[in-house]
Order: sequence, then C-alpha cells, then structure tokens
Amino acid sequence: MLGRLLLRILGFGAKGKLSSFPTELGASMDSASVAMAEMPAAVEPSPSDIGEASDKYSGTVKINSGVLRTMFEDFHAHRGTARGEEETGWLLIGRRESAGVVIEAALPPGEFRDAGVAHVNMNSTAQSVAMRILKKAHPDLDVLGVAHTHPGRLNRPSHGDYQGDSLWVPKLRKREGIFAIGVWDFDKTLNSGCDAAKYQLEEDDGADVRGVCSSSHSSGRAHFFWFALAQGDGWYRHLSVEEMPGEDLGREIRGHWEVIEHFAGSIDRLVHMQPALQMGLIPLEMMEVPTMVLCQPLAREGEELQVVLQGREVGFFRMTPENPEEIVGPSERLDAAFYEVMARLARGARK
Amino acid sequence: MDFRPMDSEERRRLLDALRGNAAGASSIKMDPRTTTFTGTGSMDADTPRGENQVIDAIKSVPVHYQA
Repeated sequence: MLGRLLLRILGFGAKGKLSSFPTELGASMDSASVAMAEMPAAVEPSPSDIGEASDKYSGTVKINSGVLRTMFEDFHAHRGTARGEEETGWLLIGRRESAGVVIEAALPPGEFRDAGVAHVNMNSTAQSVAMRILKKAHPDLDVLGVAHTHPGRLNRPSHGDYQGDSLWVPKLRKREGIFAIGVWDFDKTLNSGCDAAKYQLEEDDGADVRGVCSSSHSSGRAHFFWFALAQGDGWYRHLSVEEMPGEDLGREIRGHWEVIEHFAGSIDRLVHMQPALQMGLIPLEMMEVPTMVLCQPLAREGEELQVVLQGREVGFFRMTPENPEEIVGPSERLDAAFYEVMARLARGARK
Repeated sequence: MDFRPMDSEERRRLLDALRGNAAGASSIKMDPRTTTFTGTGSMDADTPRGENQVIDAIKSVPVHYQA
C-alpha cells in the first residue's frame, strides 16, 4: 500500500514492496558512548564580577515564537511520557548576523538519546543529518547552542554543564554559545521578578551567574531561563532573549524525525563517502507516512539511483528518462545495501 | 567560460585580499558557481561556516549532567 502510493508520487507503477531494514540504534548508541568516553576532566567554574560580563549578545538575541512553542510543546509532552523524569534537550539553530542573533529552529534530542534524571546526551548523529537537510534550504544556518532541562528546580546551568560547555563553545561561531535551562514547576510565587538572588534554587552549588536575569519564558508549568557562555569565561551570564513572530524552521524536519533518526547512522556514513548524494523530504501532505529520498547520480548522464526511506522500509529505484525501474535491495543495513545496489548497477545486474 | 585577464583594479583587490589572508586577518570570498573572486571578509564574524564545521560542532555537543 505504502509502496504503491510512493511509486505513484515518484511517477511510475508499483513493482514490489519496500524492504524492512534493521534499526540504526547501534550507530546512535556508539556516538553516545564516544561522547561519554571523551567527557572532559573536571573544570572548576570561577565566578567573575558582574562588571566583567561581556555584552556580545545583550539586547540582540531573539527567538522565533514558533521555536519557543515547539520547546514548550515538547517539554509538556515529555513530562507525560514514561521518560518524563529524565532530562531532555534541544539543539538551538539559527543565524548570526551583524544586527544580532535569531534562534530559528530547535532540533529534538531523539528517541535514541542517552538520558537519566541528571544527564542528557542527545542523538547528535540524527541532529547532524537533520542539519544537513536544513542547510540545503537555509545555507547560513548555524549551531547557536543547547537547551536542556533540569528535573529539580535548579534554574541555571550546573557545574557539570560548565565542564562540557566551556570546552565546546570554541567550536561555535564567535566562540560563544546560547544556553537555556528548562525547569518544571518553578515556583513563581517565591520569586518576584527575575532577580537571580531571589530564585528558589535546589542543590545550589554556590556558583553565581553573572549579570541580572532579564528574561525567562513560561508556559503552564514549564519555564526556560537563558544564559550565554564564551570561550574563556569563568562562568555563564544571564542573557536577554526576546520572542519575535516567526516559524520554527525545523517543523518539517520534526514531522520526519522518526525516519531520519532510524536511518541516521547509515546516512551519516553515506554523506561522508558520497559527496554527490542529495537528501530531500517528501512534504507530509503528499504522503501518509514520513518519507525521505536520497538521490545518487549514476555514471550514465541523466540517470540516478533514488533511495526511498519510508517509515522503516527502504526502496531502491533506478531513475532514467525512459524507463524508471525498481531494484530489489538486500535486507542489510542501509549503507551496506546502497553499495550492494550500486555494485549491481555497475555490473549491469538487477538482482 | 570567460578567461579574460584581470584589469588593474581587480588585480589590486585580489592582491590585497591575498596579503590580508596571509596575515591571518581576512578570508577570501569566492562565488561557488563561477569561482570568481568576490571580495574579502572577516575570518570569523562575516564568513558563514562550512557545513563540515557546523556538523563537527553538532557532533561535539557535550553530555549535560548535574554534578
């Protein structure tokens, strides 16, 4: 059924069913374990005087209302799941321009994230594949930072957060990152205004955030607080983030997240080895299930191999101007099957 | 494709860009479609980063944990 629908969209008749492929969970867990293994040695935060805070982002950081809505929806939904007590997070994507910074997308942590009540390690393989797709439409998008939740009421980054973030921000443009902490059930009645000194802190480890908290965002029981950290900073500083009308550029990506994450490990390996490989998403209104297409040009001019990823199924199609045809792929991991099909095409075989 | 020699103004701009780049102060911008020299930019602030740099940053996102 799905195969026939897909083939109709691709413009030719159905010849077979798409093959089911094994999950890519292993690849994602590998990346998680690498990140754990490379966890940095302890770095002690050294709070600086408020007067030393640099103001690179002051008054210039904005977030699209669609992105904020996404984060709140995710946070509320997450709390209702069996993993609701775990930390969760988002990769913040946007543009840095001379006029300021705009957060335009928040990519989810993925179902294969490694998380617990006191940590979260997002599925960066799936997020990197999603980012490659986003950059096709918006080439100047960049990574701006990370938002994540704390299960208690600690509404600022922890020492553990600083240990990782302080070593990560040099990899960001301008060597500075934007960070948000999400807190559930933060008690506003005990905290008038946004003064850091009045916050109700749990497990306060004494590290004060520089500057004055000038903005936070709330929706129901969910709250987000914003911070910045630059290379060489001894600790985070409060950040003013202004909501502005605008969509979440990652909305379409999120609708396809299941298929992206399922095949992310293979796709990540393929894009490294095949620079001509193109990725695209079939708009959700055109298909019953999220569908992704990989296109690899073939040696003969005008021909390409299309790999259709639909749910957990895969279809290979040799597209020619005259006679497009389906190729029955082996039931192996996606990248292995891709190379097997490419080898068959080079031999002139179809099976 | 047009292989005409550069005029004196274009040559001067390119030499300035090469010197600035050698000094580590500026980047050299190129039109990806025609490979034409299109000017200079600040090495860090004005030049959009390549996809691989962005992907490298994503894959380096640290574990966030409460210690």
